[in-house]
Amino acid sequence: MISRKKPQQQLAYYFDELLTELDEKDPNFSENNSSENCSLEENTASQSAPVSTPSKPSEKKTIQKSIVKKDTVLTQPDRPDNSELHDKQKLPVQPSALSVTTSAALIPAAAVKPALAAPSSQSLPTVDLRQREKEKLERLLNTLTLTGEQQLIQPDNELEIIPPVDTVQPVIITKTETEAKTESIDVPVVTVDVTTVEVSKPAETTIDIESDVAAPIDMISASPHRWQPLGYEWLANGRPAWAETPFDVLLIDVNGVQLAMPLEALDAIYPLKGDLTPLFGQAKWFMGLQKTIAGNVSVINTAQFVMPERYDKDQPSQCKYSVAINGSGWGLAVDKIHQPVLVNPDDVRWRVKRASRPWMAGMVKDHMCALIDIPYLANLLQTQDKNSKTIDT
Amino acid sequence: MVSNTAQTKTSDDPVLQWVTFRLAGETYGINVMQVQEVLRHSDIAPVPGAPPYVLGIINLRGNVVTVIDTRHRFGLTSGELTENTRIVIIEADSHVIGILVDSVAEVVYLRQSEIENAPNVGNDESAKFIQGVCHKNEELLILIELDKLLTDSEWAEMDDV
Repeated sequence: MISRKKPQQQLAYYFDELLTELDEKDPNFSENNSSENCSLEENTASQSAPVSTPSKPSEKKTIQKSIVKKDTVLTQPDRPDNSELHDKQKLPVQPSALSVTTSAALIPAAAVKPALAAPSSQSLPTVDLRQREKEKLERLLNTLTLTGEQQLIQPDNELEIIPPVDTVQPVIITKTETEAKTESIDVPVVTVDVTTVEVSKPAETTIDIESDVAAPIDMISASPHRWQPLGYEWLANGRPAWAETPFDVLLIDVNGVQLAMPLEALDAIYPLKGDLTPLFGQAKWFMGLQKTIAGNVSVINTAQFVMPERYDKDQPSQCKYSVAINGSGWGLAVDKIHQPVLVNPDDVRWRVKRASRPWMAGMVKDHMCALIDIPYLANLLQTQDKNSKTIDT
Repeated sequence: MVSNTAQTKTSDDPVLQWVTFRLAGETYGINVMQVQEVLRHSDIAPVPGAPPYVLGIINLRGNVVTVIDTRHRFGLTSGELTENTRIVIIEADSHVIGILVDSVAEVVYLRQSEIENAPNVGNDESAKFIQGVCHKNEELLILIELDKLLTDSEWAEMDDV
Protein backbone atom coordinates (compact mmCIF):
# COMPACT_ATOMS: atom_id res chain seq x y z
CA MET A 1 0.00 0.00 0.00
CA ILE A 2 1.41 3.31 -1.02
CA SER A 3 1.65 5.84 1.77
CA ARG A 4 -0.34 9.01 1.31
CA LYS A 5 2.32 11.13 2.96
CA LYS A 6 4.86 10.78 0.21
CA PRO A 7 3.11 12.81 -2.50
CA GLN A 8 2.07 15.31 0.09
CA GLN A 9 5.63 15.65 1.26
CA GLN A 10 6.75 15.95 -2.32
CA LEU A 11 4.19 18.65 -2.88
CA ALA A 12 5.27 20.44 0.25
CA TYR A 13 8.86 20.23 -0.83
CA TYR A 14 8.20 21.89 -4.18
CA PHE A 15 6.00 24.45 -2.64
CA ASP A 16 8.54 25.25 0.01
CA GLU A 17 11.23 25.56 -2.63
CA LEU A 18 9.11 27.95 -4.65
CA LEU A 19 8.38 30.08 -1.65
CA THR A 20 12.08 30.29 -0.90
CA GLU A 21 12.82 31.31 -4.45
CA LEU A 22 10.11 33.92 -4.47
CA ASP A 23 11.23 35.26 -1.12
CA GLU A 24 14.65 35.77 -2.54
CA LYS A 25 13.23 37.72 -5.48
CA ASP A 26 10.34 39.39 -3.72
CA PRO A 27 10.21 39.36 0.07
CA ASN A 28 6.52 40.46 -0.01
CA PHE A 29 5.47 37.52 -2.06
CA SER A 30 5.14 35.11 0.82
CA GLU A 31 2.78 37.48 2.57
CA ASN A 32 0.70 37.88 -0.56
CA ASN A 33 1.03 34.24 -1.21
CA SER A 34 -0.30 33.40 2.20
CA SER A 35 -3.42 35.32 1.32
CA GLU A 36 -3.57 33.52 -1.99
CA ASN A 37 -2.91 30.21 -0.41
CA CYS A 38 -6.50 29.39 -0.19
CA SER A 39 -7.01 30.19 -3.86
CA LEU A 40 -4.20 28.05 -5.25
CA GLU A 41 -6.50 25.26 -6.02
CA GLU A 42 -9.02 27.66 -7.39
CA ASN A 43 -6.41 29.04 -9.77
CA THR A 44 -5.48 25.58 -10.76
CA ALA A 45 -9.06 24.78 -11.20
CA SER A 46 -9.64 27.89 -13.25
CA GLN A 47 -7.33 26.63 -15.96
CA SER A 48 -9.43 23.63 -16.62
CA ALA A 49 -12.74 25.03 -15.53
CA PRO A 50 -14.03 25.86 -19.03
CA VAL A 51 -13.30 22.33 -20.17
CA SER A 52 -14.85 20.66 -17.22
CA THR A 53 -18.29 19.22 -17.22
CA PRO A 54 -20.56 18.88 -14.26
CA SER A 55 -20.41 15.55 -12.56
CA LYS A 56 -22.36 13.80 -9.92
CA PRO A 57 -22.66 15.46 -6.50
CA SER A 58 -21.08 12.48 -4.76
CA GLU A 59 -17.97 12.78 -6.91
CA LYS A 60 -17.75 16.45 -6.20
CA LYS A 61 -17.77 15.87 -2.49
CA THR A 62 -15.04 13.31 -2.78
CA ILE A 63 -12.81 15.53 -4.85
CA GLN A 64 -13.35 18.57 -2.69
CA LYS A 65 -12.40 16.59 0.37
CA SER A 66 -9.19 15.53 -1.25
CA ILE A 67 -8.42 19.16 -2.09
CA VAL A 68 -8.87 20.19 1.49
CA LYS A 69 -6.55 17.48 2.61
CA LYS A 70 -4.02 18.56 0.04
CA ASP A 71 -4.11 22.15 1.29
CA THR A 72 -3.49 21.12 4.80
CA VAL A 73 -0.58 19.07 3.66
CA LEU A 74 0.84 21.95 1.75
CA THR A 75 1.08 23.99 4.89
CA GLN A 76 3.22 21.36 6.55
CA PRO A 77 6.85 22.38 6.66
CA ASP A 78 8.17 18.86 6.29
CA ARG A 79 10.82 18.48 3.66
CA PRO A 80 11.49 14.98 2.54
CA ASP A 81 14.89 13.56 1.77
CA ASN A 82 16.20 13.40 -1.74
CA SER A 83 16.19 9.66 -1.53
CA GLU A 84 12.50 9.70 -0.87
CA LEU A 85 11.99 11.97 -3.80
CA HIS A 86 13.96 9.68 -5.97
CA ASP A 87 11.79 6.82 -4.87
CA LYS A 88 8.68 8.82 -5.44
CA GLN A 89 9.66 9.58 -9.01
CA LYS A 90 9.53 5.90 -9.61
CA LEU A 91 5.96 5.71 -8.55
CA PRO A 92 3.80 4.41 -11.30
CA VAL A 93 1.68 6.97 -13.02
CA GLN A 94 -1.43 5.64 -14.54
CA PRO A 95 -2.67 7.67 -17.47
CA SER A 96 -6.20 6.77 -16.69
CA ALA A 97 -5.81 8.16 -13.23
CA LEU A 98 -4.18 11.36 -14.52
CA SER A 99 -6.96 11.98 -16.91
CA VAL A 100 -9.37 11.71 -14.04
CA THR A 101 -7.36 13.82 -11.58
CA THR A 102 -8.35 17.13 -12.98
CA SER A 103 -10.24 17.28 -9.77
CA ALA A 104 -10.53 21.05 -9.80
CA ALA A 105 -12.28 20.81 -13.12
CA LEU A 106 -15.11 19.23 -11.29
CA ILE A 107 -15.59 22.31 -9.17
CA PRO A 108 -18.59 24.32 -10.29
CA ALA A 109 -17.92 27.43 -12.32
CA ALA A 110 -19.52 29.64 -9.70
CA ALA A 111 -16.80 28.72 -7.29
CA VAL A 112 -14.14 29.43 -9.88
CA LYS A 113 -15.26 32.92 -10.86
CA PRO A 114 -14.04 34.68 -7.69
CA ALA A 115 -10.71 32.99 -8.13
CA LEU A 116 -10.42 34.40 -11.62
CA ALA A 117 -11.01 37.84 -10.33
CA ALA A 118 -8.30 37.60 -7.69
CA PRO A 119 -5.26 37.48 -10.00
CA SER A 120 -6.62 40.28 -12.09
CA SER A 121 -6.64 42.48 -9.05
CA GLN A 122 -2.82 42.27 -8.77
CA SER A 123 -0.83 45.47 -9.50
CA LEU A 124 0.74 45.87 -12.95
CA PRO A 125 4.44 46.44 -11.99
CA THR A 126 4.58 43.11 -10.36
CA VAL A 127 2.65 41.36 -13.07
CA ASP A 128 5.59 40.55 -15.33
CA LEU A 129 7.77 39.24 -12.62
CA ARG A 130 5.02 37.69 -10.66
CA GLN A 131 3.24 36.50 -13.73
CA ARG A 132 6.25 34.49 -14.78
CA GLU A 133 6.83 33.23 -11.28
CA LYS A 134 3.21 32.53 -10.89
CA GLU A 135 3.04 30.66 -14.14
CA LYS A 136 6.01 28.71 -13.05
CA LEU A 137 4.40 28.16 -9.71
CA GLU A 138 1.15 27.17 -11.27
CA ARG A 139 2.91 24.84 -13.65
CA LEU A 140 4.74 23.23 -10.81
CA LEU A 141 1.69 23.18 -8.63
CA ASN A 142 -0.30 21.74 -11.44
CA THR A 143 2.24 19.02 -11.81
CA LEU A 144 2.36 18.50 -8.09
CA THR A 145 -1.37 18.62 -7.89
CA LEU A 146 -1.64 16.00 -10.52
CA THR A 147 0.93 13.85 -8.76
CA GLY A 148 -0.55 14.43 -5.36
CA GLU A 149 -4.07 13.87 -6.45
CA GLN A 150 -3.01 10.85 -8.29
CA GLN A 151 -1.95 9.34 -5.01
CA LEU A 152 -4.89 10.81 -3.16
CA ILE A 153 -7.40 9.67 -5.65
CA GLN A 154 -5.81 6.34 -6.29
CA PRO A 155 -7.26 4.70 -3.18
CA ASP A 156 -10.70 5.85 -4.25
CA ASN A 157 -10.17 4.64 -7.77
CA GLU A 158 -8.48 1.41 -6.85
CA LEU A 159 -11.73 -0.41 -6.98
CA GLU A 160 -12.43 1.09 -10.37
CA ILE A 161 -9.05 0.72 -12.03
CA ILE A 162 -7.57 -2.43 -10.61
CA PRO A 163 -10.58 -4.63 -11.00
CA PRO A 164 -10.58 -4.32 -14.77
CA VAL A 165 -6.92 -5.35 -14.73
CA ASP A 166 -7.77 -8.25 -12.49
CA THR A 167 -10.70 -9.18 -14.55
CA VAL A 168 -8.61 -9.22 -17.67
CA GLN A 169 -6.25 -11.81 -16.31
CA PRO A 170 -8.97 -14.21 -15.26
CA VAL A 171 -10.47 -13.82 -18.66
CA ILE A 172 -7.23 -15.06 -20.15
CA ILE A 173 -7.07 -17.88 -17.65
CA THR A 174 -10.63 -18.66 -18.28
CA LYS A 175 -9.92 -18.89 -21.96
CA THR A 176 -7.05 -21.21 -21.27
CA GLU A 177 -9.17 -23.36 -19.04
CA THR A 178 -11.88 -23.31 -21.58
CA GLU A 179 -9.47 -24.49 -24.23
CA ALA A 180 -8.10 -27.15 -21.89
CA LYS A 181 -11.57 -28.26 -21.05
CA THR A 182 -12.42 -28.33 -24.68
CA GLU A 183 -9.39 -30.50 -25.38
CA SER A 184 -10.10 -32.78 -22.47
CA ILE A 185 -13.64 -33.10 -23.62
CA ASP A 186 -12.61 -33.88 -27.14
CA VAL A 187 -10.38 -36.78 -26.07
CA PRO A 188 -13.08 -38.67 -24.19
CA VAL A 189 -15.37 -38.22 -27.09
CA VAL A 190 -12.87 -39.98 -29.33
CA THR A 191 -12.21 -42.60 -26.67
CA VAL A 192 -15.85 -43.30 -26.31
CA ASP A 193 -16.13 -43.92 -29.98
CA VAL A 194 -13.13 -46.24 -30.00
CA THR A 195 -14.35 -48.03 -26.92
CA THR A 196 -17.67 -48.54 -28.45
CA VAL A 197 -16.04 -50.14 -31.46
CA GLU A 198 -13.79 -52.32 -29.33
CA VAL A 199 -16.61 -53.46 -27.15
CA SER A 200 -18.77 -54.34 -30.03
CA LYS A 201 -16.10 -56.52 -31.65
CA PRO A 202 -15.38 -58.75 -28.65
CA ALA A 203 -19.05 -59.18 -28.12
CA GLU A 204 -19.34 -60.58 -31.61
CA THR A 205 -16.16 -62.61 -31.21
CA THR A 206 -17.37 -64.10 -27.96
CA ILE A 207 -20.44 -65.38 -29.61
CA ASP A 208 -18.37 -67.04 -32.29
CA ILE A 209 -16.01 -68.56 -29.75
CA GLU A 210 -18.84 -69.94 -27.73
CA SER A 211 -20.32 -71.55 -30.75
CA ASP A 212 -16.92 -72.98 -31.68
CA VAL A 213 -16.11 -74.23 -28.22
CA ALA A 214 -19.45 -75.85 -27.77
CA ALA A 215 -18.40 -79.09 -29.40
CA PRO A 216 -15.23 -79.67 -27.29
CA ILE A 217 -17.14 -78.89 -24.12
CA ASP A 218 -19.59 -81.63 -24.93
CA MET A 219 -16.76 -84.04 -25.50
CA ILE A 220 -15.10 -83.09 -22.23
CA SER A 221 -18.31 -83.45 -20.34
CA ALA A 222 -18.47 -86.98 -21.66
CA SER A 223 -15.08 -87.80 -20.17
CA PRO A 224 -14.80 -90.90 -18.05
CA HIS A 225 -13.41 -88.86 -15.19
CA ARG A 226 -16.57 -86.83 -14.88
CA TRP A 227 -19.06 -89.61 -15.21
CA GLN A 228 -19.96 -91.56 -12.18
CA PRO A 229 -19.13 -95.25 -12.54
CA LEU A 230 -21.90 -97.76 -12.30
CA GLY A 231 -22.22 -99.70 -9.13
CA TYR A 232 -20.64 -103.15 -9.27
CA GLU A 233 -22.80 -104.67 -6.53
CA TRP A 234 -24.95 -107.63 -7.31
CA LEU A 235 -28.47 -107.87 -6.05
CA ALA A 236 -30.17 -110.70 -4.23
CA ASN A 237 -31.81 -111.92 -7.44
CA GLY A 238 -28.40 -112.90 -8.73
CA ARG A 239 -28.07 -110.03 -11.16
CA PRO A 240 -25.94 -106.98 -11.15
CA ALA A 241 -27.56 -103.68 -10.31
CA TRP A 242 -27.09 -102.36 -13.86
CA ALA A 243 -28.96 -105.34 -15.34
CA GLU A 244 -32.37 -104.98 -13.70
CA THR A 245 -33.94 -103.77 -16.89
CA PRO A 246 -33.14 -104.44 -20.55
CA PHE A 247 -29.78 -102.93 -21.38
CA ASP A 248 -27.61 -102.28 -24.40
CA VAL A 249 -24.42 -104.20 -24.87
CA LEU A 250 -21.50 -103.48 -27.15
CA LEU A 251 -20.12 -106.47 -28.97
CA ILE A 252 -16.39 -106.51 -29.53
CA ASP A 253 -13.80 -108.91 -30.83
CA VAL A 254 -10.62 -109.58 -28.92
CA ASN A 255 -8.05 -112.03 -30.15
CA GLY A 256 -10.72 -113.82 -32.17
CA VAL A 257 -13.20 -114.01 -29.29
CA GLN A 258 -16.42 -112.03 -29.16
CA LEU A 259 -17.27 -110.32 -25.92
CA ALA A 260 -20.22 -108.20 -24.75
CA MET A 261 -19.93 -105.11 -22.61
CA PRO A 262 -22.78 -103.13 -21.05
CA LEU A 263 -22.94 -99.94 -23.04
CA GLU A 264 -23.99 -97.85 -20.09
CA ALA A 265 -20.68 -98.56 -18.36
CA LEU A 266 -18.59 -97.34 -21.29
CA ASP A 267 -17.46 -93.86 -22.03
CA ALA A 268 -15.78 -93.36 -25.36
CA ILE A 269 -13.94 -95.22 -28.10
CA TYR A 270 -10.47 -94.00 -29.10
CA PRO A 271 -8.47 -95.33 -32.00
CA LEU A 272 -5.08 -96.80 -31.22
CA LYS A 273 -2.44 -95.36 -33.52
CA GLY A 274 0.68 -96.40 -31.69
CA ASP A 275 0.42 -93.39 -29.42
CA LEU A 276 0.64 -95.44 -26.25
CA THR A 277 3.36 -94.57 -23.77
CA PRO A 278 4.54 -97.69 -21.98
CA LEU A 279 5.59 -97.49 -18.37
CA PHE A 280 8.27 -99.76 -16.97
CA GLY A 281 7.58 -101.95 -13.97
CA GLN A 282 3.93 -102.50 -14.82
CA ALA A 283 1.95 -105.70 -15.25
CA LYS A 284 2.28 -107.48 -18.59
CA TRP A 285 -1.30 -106.73 -19.59
CA PHE A 286 -0.67 -102.99 -19.14
CA MET A 287 -0.15 -101.56 -22.60
CA GLY A 288 0.52 -97.96 -21.69
CA LEU A 289 -0.97 -94.52 -21.29
CA GLN A 290 -3.03 -92.97 -24.04
CA LYS A 291 -3.51 -89.25 -24.24
CA THR A 292 -7.13 -88.36 -24.96
CA ILE A 293 -9.22 -85.24 -24.81
CA ALA A 294 -10.53 -86.45 -21.47
CA GLY A 295 -7.07 -87.07 -20.04
CA ASN A 296 -4.78 -90.05 -19.77
CA VAL A 297 -6.34 -93.43 -20.24
CA SER A 298 -4.51 -96.48 -18.96
CA VAL A 299 -4.99 -99.01 -21.71
CA ILE A 300 -4.86 -102.69 -20.88
CA ASN A 301 -4.57 -105.61 -23.22
CA THR A 302 -8.04 -107.06 -22.86
CA ALA A 303 -7.16 -110.43 -24.31
CA GLN A 304 -4.13 -110.85 -22.09
CA PHE A 305 -6.07 -109.73 -19.04
CA VAL A 306 -9.25 -111.72 -19.61
CA MET A 307 -7.92 -114.91 -21.11
CA PRO A 308 -4.18 -115.12 -20.56
CA GLU A 309 -4.28 -118.80 -21.30
CA ARG A 310 -5.41 -118.11 -24.87
CA TYR A 311 -3.18 -115.13 -25.48
CA ASP A 312 -0.15 -115.63 -27.66
CA LYS A 313 2.33 -112.93 -26.79
CA ASP A 314 4.39 -113.73 -29.88
CA GLN A 315 1.46 -112.84 -32.08
CA PRO A 316 1.42 -109.17 -33.00
CA SER A 317 -1.36 -107.17 -31.41
CA GLN A 318 -4.40 -106.51 -33.58
CA CYS A 319 -5.86 -103.93 -31.24
CA LYS A 320 -7.24 -100.92 -33.13
CA TYR A 321 -9.40 -99.25 -30.51
CA SER A 322 -9.48 -98.59 -26.83
CA VAL A 323 -12.83 -98.54 -25.11
CA ALA A 324 -12.75 -96.26 -22.08
CA ILE A 325 -14.65 -97.20 -18.96
CA ASN A 326 -16.80 -94.62 -17.24
CA GLY A 327 -15.19 -92.82 -14.35
CA SER A 328 -12.15 -95.04 -14.02
CA GLY A 329 -9.44 -93.81 -16.36
CA TRP A 330 -8.97 -97.29 -17.70
CA GLY A 331 -9.46 -98.44 -21.25
CA LEU A 332 -9.83 -101.83 -22.90
CA ALA A 333 -7.92 -102.49 -26.11
CA VAL A 334 -10.09 -104.30 -28.64
CA ASP A 335 -9.62 -105.55 -32.17
CA LYS A 336 -13.08 -104.92 -33.60
CA ILE A 337 -16.27 -103.23 -32.53
CA HIS A 338 -19.79 -104.19 -33.59
CA GLN A 339 -23.09 -102.40 -33.29
CA PRO A 340 -24.66 -102.35 -29.82
CA VAL A 341 -27.63 -104.58 -29.23
CA LEU A 342 -30.42 -104.55 -26.67
CA VAL A 343 -30.35 -107.46 -24.29
CA ASN A 344 -33.07 -108.58 -21.97
CA PRO A 345 -31.82 -109.63 -18.54
CA ASP A 346 -33.66 -112.88 -18.92
CA ASP A 347 -31.65 -113.62 -22.04
CA VAL A 348 -28.45 -113.79 -20.04
CA ARG A 349 -27.25 -116.77 -18.12
CA TRP A 350 -25.96 -115.10 -15.00
CA ARG A 351 -23.13 -116.66 -13.09
CA VAL A 352 -23.87 -117.84 -9.61
CA LYS A 353 -20.40 -118.45 -8.24
CA ARG A 354 -17.91 -115.88 -9.29
CA ALA A 355 -14.93 -117.00 -7.27
CA SER A 356 -12.81 -117.23 -10.38
CA ARG A 357 -12.95 -114.69 -13.17
CA PRO A 358 -15.15 -112.40 -11.14
CA TRP A 359 -15.16 -109.87 -14.00
CA MET A 360 -17.35 -112.26 -16.06
CA ALA A 361 -21.07 -111.68 -15.45
CA GLY A 362 -22.54 -114.40 -17.60
CA MET A 363 -23.27 -115.47 -21.14
CA VAL A 364 -25.51 -113.69 -23.61
CA LYS A 365 -27.65 -116.48 -25.03
CA ASP A 366 -28.56 -114.80 -28.29
CA HIS A 367 -24.94 -114.15 -29.25
CA MET A 368 -23.25 -116.87 -27.27
CA CYS A 369 -20.63 -114.58 -25.95
CA ALA A 370 -19.31 -113.74 -22.53
CA LEU A 371 -20.78 -110.68 -20.84
CA ILE A 372 -18.07 -108.67 -19.12
CA ASP A 373 -19.01 -107.01 -15.86
CA ILE A 374 -17.36 -103.73 -16.71
CA PRO A 375 -18.16 -101.94 -13.42
CA TYR A 376 -16.65 -104.79 -11.50
CA LEU A 377 -13.63 -104.92 -13.83
CA ALA A 378 -13.05 -101.22 -13.37
CA ASN A 379 -13.19 -101.61 -9.64
CA LEU A 380 -10.77 -104.54 -9.85
CA LEU A 381 -8.28 -102.49 -11.85
CA GLN A 382 -8.66 -99.63 -9.47
CA THR A 383 -7.88 -101.77 -6.49
CA GLN A 384 -4.81 -103.24 -8.17
CA ASP A 385 -3.42 -99.80 -8.88
CA LYS A 386 -1.12 -99.04 -5.98
CA ASN A 387 -1.01 -95.37 -6.80
CA SER A 388 -4.77 -95.27 -6.97
CA LYS A 389 -4.91 -96.77 -3.51
CA THR A 390 -2.59 -94.09 -2.28
CA ILE A 391 -4.89 -91.44 -3.70
CA ASP A 392 -7.96 -92.97 -2.10
CA THR A 393 -6.39 -93.14 1.32
CA MET B 1 5.93 -85.51 -2.55
CA VAL B 2 8.28 -83.23 -4.48
CA SER B 3 10.08 -81.70 -1.57
CA ASN B 4 13.45 -81.11 -3.26
CA THR B 5 12.14 -80.07 -6.60
CA ALA B 6 13.35 -76.73 -7.90
CA GLN B 7 10.59 -74.25 -7.47
CA THR B 8 10.63 -71.01 -9.36
CA LYS B 9 7.36 -69.82 -7.92
CA THR B 10 6.29 -70.14 -4.34
CA SER B 11 2.56 -70.41 -4.75
CA ASP B 12 -0.05 -73.07 -4.59
CA ASP B 13 0.94 -74.20 -8.05
CA PRO B 14 4.75 -73.93 -8.23
CA VAL B 15 6.66 -74.26 -11.47
CA LEU B 16 9.15 -77.11 -11.43
CA GLN B 17 12.20 -77.67 -13.62
CA TRP B 18 13.03 -81.05 -14.98
CA VAL B 19 15.96 -82.36 -17.01
CA THR B 20 14.65 -84.69 -19.66
CA PHE B 21 16.48 -87.58 -21.24
CA ARG B 22 15.64 -90.33 -23.68
CA LEU B 23 15.70 -93.99 -22.85
CA ALA B 24 14.36 -96.83 -25.02
CA GLY B 25 12.31 -94.42 -27.10
CA GLU B 26 10.60 -92.76 -24.17
CA THR B 27 11.24 -89.42 -22.51
CA TYR B 28 11.96 -89.23 -18.83
CA GLY B 29 12.42 -86.33 -16.50
CA ILE B 30 14.45 -85.88 -13.34
CA ASN B 31 14.57 -83.04 -10.90
CA VAL B 32 17.04 -80.44 -12.11
CA MET B 33 18.19 -79.76 -8.55
CA GLN B 34 19.49 -83.28 -8.30
CA VAL B 35 21.53 -83.07 -11.49
CA GLN B 36 25.14 -82.06 -10.97
CA GLU B 37 26.49 -82.38 -14.49
CA VAL B 38 26.18 -84.29 -17.74
CA LEU B 39 29.18 -86.15 -19.15
CA ARG B 40 29.86 -87.71 -22.48
CA HIS B 41 30.22 -91.45 -22.41
CA SER B 42 33.71 -92.47 -21.38
CA ASP B 43 35.32 -95.70 -20.42
CA ILE B 44 33.58 -97.27 -17.49
CA ALA B 45 35.72 -99.55 -15.41
CA PRO B 46 33.78 -102.70 -14.50
CA VAL B 47 33.76 -103.77 -10.89
CA PRO B 48 33.88 -107.48 -10.17
CA GLY B 49 31.10 -108.74 -7.95
CA ALA B 50 29.02 -105.60 -8.34
CA PRO B 51 25.22 -105.82 -8.65
CA PRO B 52 23.94 -106.43 -12.17
CA TYR B 53 22.53 -102.93 -12.49
CA VAL B 54 25.98 -101.42 -11.85
CA LEU B 55 27.98 -100.80 -15.00
CA GLY B 56 31.16 -99.79 -13.25
CA ILE B 57 32.97 -96.73 -11.99
CA ILE B 58 34.46 -93.60 -13.53
CA ASN B 59 36.97 -91.08 -12.29
CA LEU B 60 35.38 -87.69 -12.05
CA ARG B 61 38.07 -85.16 -11.18
CA GLY B 62 39.62 -87.47 -8.66
CA ASN B 63 36.38 -88.81 -7.28
CA VAL B 64 35.13 -92.32 -7.98
CA VAL B 65 31.56 -92.33 -9.18
CA THR B 66 29.47 -95.44 -9.66
CA VAL B 67 27.53 -95.61 -12.93
CA ILE B 68 24.19 -97.44 -13.04
CA ASP B 69 22.69 -99.17 -16.05
CA THR B 70 19.40 -97.31 -16.16
CA ARG B 71 17.86 -99.58 -18.76
CA HIS B 72 18.52 -102.60 -16.60
CA ARG B 73 17.22 -100.82 -13.54
CA PHE B 74 14.02 -99.88 -15.30
CA GLY B 75 13.54 -103.39 -16.65
CA LEU B 76 14.06 -102.29 -20.23
CA THR B 77 15.94 -104.06 -22.95
CA SER B 78 19.62 -103.28 -23.41
CA GLY B 79 20.66 -100.68 -25.91
CA GLU B 80 23.73 -99.74 -27.84
CA LEU B 81 26.07 -96.92 -27.03
CA THR B 82 25.84 -93.99 -29.44
CA GLU B 83 27.35 -90.54 -29.75
CA ASN B 84 24.38 -89.19 -27.84
CA THR B 85 24.87 -91.49 -24.90
CA ARG B 86 25.43 -89.51 -21.74
CA ILE B 87 26.26 -90.11 -18.12
CA VAL B 88 24.15 -87.88 -15.90
CA ILE B 89 25.77 -87.26 -12.55
CA ILE B 90 23.05 -86.99 -9.94
CA GLU B 91 22.86 -86.65 -6.21
CA ALA B 92 20.20 -88.71 -4.51
CA ASP B 93 19.85 -89.83 -0.95
CA SER B 94 23.17 -88.17 -0.10
CA HIS B 95 24.97 -90.23 -2.70
CA VAL B 96 26.51 -89.13 -5.96
CA ILE B 97 26.08 -91.62 -8.78
CA GLY B 98 25.94 -91.62 -12.55
CA ILE B 99 23.07 -92.92 -14.65
CA LEU B 100 23.57 -93.97 -18.24
CA VAL B 101 20.96 -92.59 -20.64
CA ASP B 102 20.52 -92.69 -24.39
CA SER B 103 20.57 -88.88 -24.68
CA VAL B 104 19.84 -85.73 -22.74
CA ALA B 105 17.14 -83.55 -24.22
CA GLU B 106 16.38 -80.30 -22.40
CA VAL B 107 15.15 -78.62 -19.25
CA VAL B 108 11.40 -78.21 -19.12
CA TYR B 109 9.20 -76.18 -16.81
CA LEU B 110 6.18 -77.92 -15.42
CA ARG B 111 3.54 -76.74 -13.05
CA GLN B 112 2.81 -78.98 -10.13
CA SER B 113 -0.79 -79.21 -11.25
CA GLU B 114 0.30 -80.56 -14.63
CA ILE B 115 1.80 -83.68 -13.10
CA GLU B 116 -0.56 -86.61 -13.08
CA ASN B 117 -0.34 -89.83 -11.20
CA ALA B 118 0.73 -92.85 -13.20
CA PRO B 119 -0.85 -96.22 -12.68
CA ASN B 120 1.07 -98.83 -10.77
CA VAL B 121 -0.48 -102.19 -11.38
CA GLY B 122 2.61 -104.37 -11.52
CA ASN B 123 4.56 -106.30 -9.01
CA ASP B 124 7.88 -104.98 -10.22
CA GLU B 125 9.68 -102.77 -7.75
CA SER B 126 10.79 -100.47 -10.52
CA ALA B 127 7.26 -99.16 -10.87
CA LYS B 128 7.75 -97.11 -7.74
CA PHE B 129 10.45 -95.06 -9.47
CA ILE B 130 7.79 -93.29 -11.43
CA GLN B 131 6.73 -90.14 -9.67
CA GLY B 132 4.17 -89.13 -12.24
CA VAL B 133 3.55 -88.33 -15.86
CA CYS B 134 2.99 -85.11 -17.72
CA HIS B 135 2.19 -84.18 -21.28
CA LYS B 136 4.79 -81.90 -22.77
CA ASN B 137 5.50 -81.12 -26.40
CA GLU B 138 2.95 -83.58 -27.69
CA GLU B 139 4.46 -86.47 -25.80
CA LEU B 140 4.14 -88.06 -22.42
CA LEU B 141 6.94 -87.24 -20.03
CA ILE B 142 7.66 -89.83 -17.35
CA LEU B 143 8.98 -88.20 -14.20
CA ILE B 144 11.43 -90.24 -12.15
CA GLU B 145 11.88 -89.98 -8.41
CA LEU B 146 15.59 -90.53 -8.03
CA ASP B 147 15.52 -91.04 -4.29
CA LYS B 148 13.62 -94.27 -4.88
CA LEU B 149 15.92 -95.44 -7.61
CA LEU B 150 17.69 -97.65 -5.11
CA THR B 151 16.69 -99.06 -1.78
CA ASP B 152 18.49 -98.10 1.40
CA SER B 153 20.60 -101.24 1.30
CA GLU B 154 21.41 -100.65 -2.35
CA TRP B 155 22.46 -97.09 -1.63
CA ALA B 156 24.73 -98.34 1.10
CA GLU B 157 26.15 -100.88 -1.30
CA MET B 158 27.05 -98.07 -3.70
CA ASP B 159 29.65 -96.89 -1.23
CA ASP B 160 31.37 -100.26 -1.26
CA VAL B 161 31.54 -100.64 -5.01
